[in-house]
Amino acid sequence: MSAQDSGWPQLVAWFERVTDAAPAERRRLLDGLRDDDPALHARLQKLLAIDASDNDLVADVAHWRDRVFSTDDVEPMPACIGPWRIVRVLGSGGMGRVFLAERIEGGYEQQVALKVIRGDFTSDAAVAHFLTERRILARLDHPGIASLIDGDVDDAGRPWFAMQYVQGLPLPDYCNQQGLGLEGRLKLMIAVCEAVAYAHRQLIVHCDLKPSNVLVDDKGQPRLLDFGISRLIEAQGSEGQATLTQLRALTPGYAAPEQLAGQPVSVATDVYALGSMLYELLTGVRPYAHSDANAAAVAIAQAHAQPRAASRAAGADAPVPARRLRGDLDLVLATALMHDPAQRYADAHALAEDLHSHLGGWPLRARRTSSWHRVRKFVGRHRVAVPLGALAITALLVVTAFALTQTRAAREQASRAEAVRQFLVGVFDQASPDENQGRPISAHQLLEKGEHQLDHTPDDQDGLKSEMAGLLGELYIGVGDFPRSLALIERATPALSNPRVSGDVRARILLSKAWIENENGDYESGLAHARSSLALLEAAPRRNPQAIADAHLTIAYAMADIGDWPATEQFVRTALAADRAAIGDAHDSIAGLWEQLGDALRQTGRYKEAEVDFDNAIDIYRQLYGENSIHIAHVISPLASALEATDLGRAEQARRRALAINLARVGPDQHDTLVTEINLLGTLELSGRFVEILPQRLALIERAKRAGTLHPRDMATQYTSLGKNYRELGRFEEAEQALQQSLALTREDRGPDSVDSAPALRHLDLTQVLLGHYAVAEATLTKAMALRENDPPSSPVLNLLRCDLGNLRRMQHRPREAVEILQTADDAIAATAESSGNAWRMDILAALSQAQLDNADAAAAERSGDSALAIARRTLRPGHYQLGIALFALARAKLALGKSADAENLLREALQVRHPPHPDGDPRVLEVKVALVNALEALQRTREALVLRDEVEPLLRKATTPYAHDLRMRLGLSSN
Amino acid sequence: MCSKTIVDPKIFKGPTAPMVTLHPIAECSELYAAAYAQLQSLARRERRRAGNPGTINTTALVHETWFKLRSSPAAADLPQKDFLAIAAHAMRQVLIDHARRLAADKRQHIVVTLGHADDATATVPMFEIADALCQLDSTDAQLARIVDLHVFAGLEFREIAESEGISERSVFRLWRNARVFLLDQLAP
Repeated sequence: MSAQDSGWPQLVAWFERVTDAAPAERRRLLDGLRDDDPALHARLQKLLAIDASDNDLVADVAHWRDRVFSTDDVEPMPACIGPWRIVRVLGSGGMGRVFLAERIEGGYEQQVALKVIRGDFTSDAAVAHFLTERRILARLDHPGIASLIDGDVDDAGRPWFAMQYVQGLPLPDYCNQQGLGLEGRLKLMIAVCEAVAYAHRQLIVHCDLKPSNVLVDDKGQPRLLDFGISRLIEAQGSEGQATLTQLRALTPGYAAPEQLAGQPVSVATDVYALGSMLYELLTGVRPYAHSDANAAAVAIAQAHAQPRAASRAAGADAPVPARRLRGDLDLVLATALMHDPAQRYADAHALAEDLHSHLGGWPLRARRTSSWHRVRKFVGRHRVAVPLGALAITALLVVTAFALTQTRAAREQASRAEAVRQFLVGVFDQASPDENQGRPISAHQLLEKGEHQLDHTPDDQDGLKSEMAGLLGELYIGVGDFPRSLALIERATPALSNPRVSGDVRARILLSKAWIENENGDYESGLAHARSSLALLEAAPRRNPQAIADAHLTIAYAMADIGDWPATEQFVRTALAADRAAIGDAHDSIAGLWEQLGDALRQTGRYKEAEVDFDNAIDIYRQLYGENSIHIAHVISPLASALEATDLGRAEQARRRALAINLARVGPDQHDTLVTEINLLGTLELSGRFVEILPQRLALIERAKRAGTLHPRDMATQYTSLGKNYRELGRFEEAEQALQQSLALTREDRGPDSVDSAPALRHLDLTQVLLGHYAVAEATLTKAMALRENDPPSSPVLNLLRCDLGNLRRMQHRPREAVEILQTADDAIAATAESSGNAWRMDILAALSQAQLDNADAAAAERSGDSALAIARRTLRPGHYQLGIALFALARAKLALGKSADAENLLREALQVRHPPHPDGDPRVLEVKVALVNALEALQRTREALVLRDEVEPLLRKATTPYAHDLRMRLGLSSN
Repeated sequence: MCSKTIVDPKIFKGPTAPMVTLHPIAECSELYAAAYAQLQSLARRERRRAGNPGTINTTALVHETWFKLRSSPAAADLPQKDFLAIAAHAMRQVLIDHARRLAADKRQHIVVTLGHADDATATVPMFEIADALCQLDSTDAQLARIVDLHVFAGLEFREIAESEGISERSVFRLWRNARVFLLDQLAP
């Protein structure tokens, strides 16, 4: 029968009916029931048997009660133990009894809590365990821990020890008696955390932290008691755990999940207990409603849910108002109470630090590792909207509010702080699902309500309204609504010149402004504002190194967006040195800086170095979040881009790893996954698998359009890739359309002259050349090169554009100019460290080779062609379609030099790698076949040559491009 | 709340002593807390008494508690009937909590005999009684109340009948129903 047994009313009704009935009637009723409902009959029979038994519940309970009330402290109290005179019993717990004892020494009386092993615990294991506690205490010397004073064995040979006697109240009682508010409670908890952290440093885990084990003396100093089941970390993993479970029951309400499950304990176990205590101290209730229940029930509750947010658990009579728990403290508690020990604070010190940060209004460690930082980083990296839960936004709003309130030094600012908080509380009151016809409210709706509320807030001289506008604007960044964010940040601008607004707040507003400006492509302003923000932070009376590191990162983003890679590199290196010294390595902002450094190096072609920096970032993220964290997936993106330049196989591997992480972490339809998939397709494209990719790409674009979550910039990139896809498949008109679409998106998003349009422009010029529209192609190319004119000389993009221009000049029958341009490009690329392994240089060398040939220098053409092919073979997989570029160039040179047999071999290979992806009538296939006809004719294999001619000539006659004309000329055909 | 903590009964056979929590009606009551505290202190006093005979007059304790608390504002408007129920429930909790502490100290279950004391198989951990009561709380609150009054407050059927305003016969029938429910829970 279970508690929810719906059968009980029916069963008890039958029970009453049958017991009230006369014996004959009773039999009749039972027989009838047996036929109708055998199961109910069986249960009823059991009840009747029980009813007839002579068990006397009342006597049972009385017996129990008597035992309960009479078995306490049956052992007589000794008069003395060692030099100590026993005064009275303080309590009995674990395997020992604790007495208040005293001695007179040096003329003054000393009182101790003297613990002696109980008479009925004489087993070796019990004694050994008792001595362990004594040894552990001996190691601990900290004002927050009741210290060991003396110890020995008594006359009966039983071990005892004396500890400092703490006269005080258990932690919660003390808080209540003193009427402590939030701040007082947090300060006490910080002191407790520090004492526990001290024990952790001595490699001791307390394992039984609970309010009654923390006494606060009349000076307000909390002291930890009872290391009775504490453990030395190094002893862990032995049989110790099992012994412990037998020796003493835990306190389920505070015990960590791993303790209840009998798994190894660690410092995180104490973190959990500290979290439980803090939760209770702030809300008046324990994290799980069942905390007084048995261990099994607590374990089940823990396994199935995170505890309710403290701010929700706190009732009207809670010691601290619920609204003061929202945000920071909810997050701190949730972090401390994570089910998985690895996700909690690493140790008690980290928890103490965050409580301290909260008191001081500084950013939290927990915050940095969760939504807040993720939003910022994510927005920074992908510039795509991040769908956020309303809860995350709630947390963001409130932490920001705290940042605003807590940094107020002066007391008279309290009303201001309160006003900000009231404002936010108002937003949330409006934002309950009830107010939204029962539908959960989205982050965006929440912010709109905030904005609405702002509109109805009266203006003030204190800059409060501006400040709130800045706050909301910052939050709009989080949901990716940049135009709205910008509008609000603009409204916050007056706060920047208001002396009553604190430097911190101004720094935040400036940083938000910088973000938005970066988003909008106004990188110069973004950079300037990020720098102003940094200056404010650096001038602050209390340095906030974390905020400084965040500002550094924002500056780095802006510089990277401007594209001044050497300057970015220099800045990031300096920032890294300073920030690592100030906050250490294990921070997101440090990882972010490593990433930016890697990216700067990648952009200047220093791929190997870049790889190392990306790996540094990955190491930090691994350390902070584990092997499969989404952050790692994010760094893999630029890392794979670096690898794409040197090792496509590893690049693809990396992309697939990122995709796997995303699939596991956020699921297939999330936009993060979408981006990763896009990147993987990009890598596959480098291997020339266009036939396979095109349908996937089209489907992706459709999905992205439907979801509407991709930033225009990413959408533009998709069209660029689609254009390339089409081009490589010989579908030039569709390619041009797609590329124009991409450019239109970029123009819409970034304005007419954004550097972001350079890649699409390059693909467009290549397409236009293939279409034979040389003048249009040249215009496109000129535009692209203008965007890149400030690139450093070795910039790959710039030199590829030069390559295109040189090629175009050759196609325009201006080979001398072509050679000059291409030589310049090659010299620039050759100067970079990885040039010999750079597939891009192959493009340039191949183009140079053909230009040299057309410029009547076949020997030089052969040398360039040889180099091109050597690079191609090193960097491209066998069979890669781009090998065709080098193969064809070299073959033409060989042909000109009369090495027709070599040419034939090269051309046959070229044909094989180019066809597919390029189709039959594609000029890149035709040009090879034409050259092959020439080679075969030179080799006097007339018959084979004729067959090929018959195949090629009709296709060439159909084509109207200048190049088709050139090819016809090579076949000795008339121009029309 | 116990009605939500009920889990697979198998789990209760584990090494750690199970505990019940409060009945919902009493959970947030200030008066309940006061009664609980009062009873606890009385129980402590009883334990400290020299020559503790090992038997406690729980009825006297409950009545004494009522006497001390009825002047409190929270109790002012409460009918005696409800107060007794709350005090009885608090008594239950005091006993269980205390037993739990002892059990924690002793690392064993306090055992209560069912029927023949020398029949080892007929003994069950007292926590199972506590848990059975908790189940009864959520299945039939009236029965649980009768049990609290009779077993924990030690009231006679006549007193319960007076207090609840029902016939003694009804009290007996309810008690009998509660008894089979509890013993059914306790039976293997």
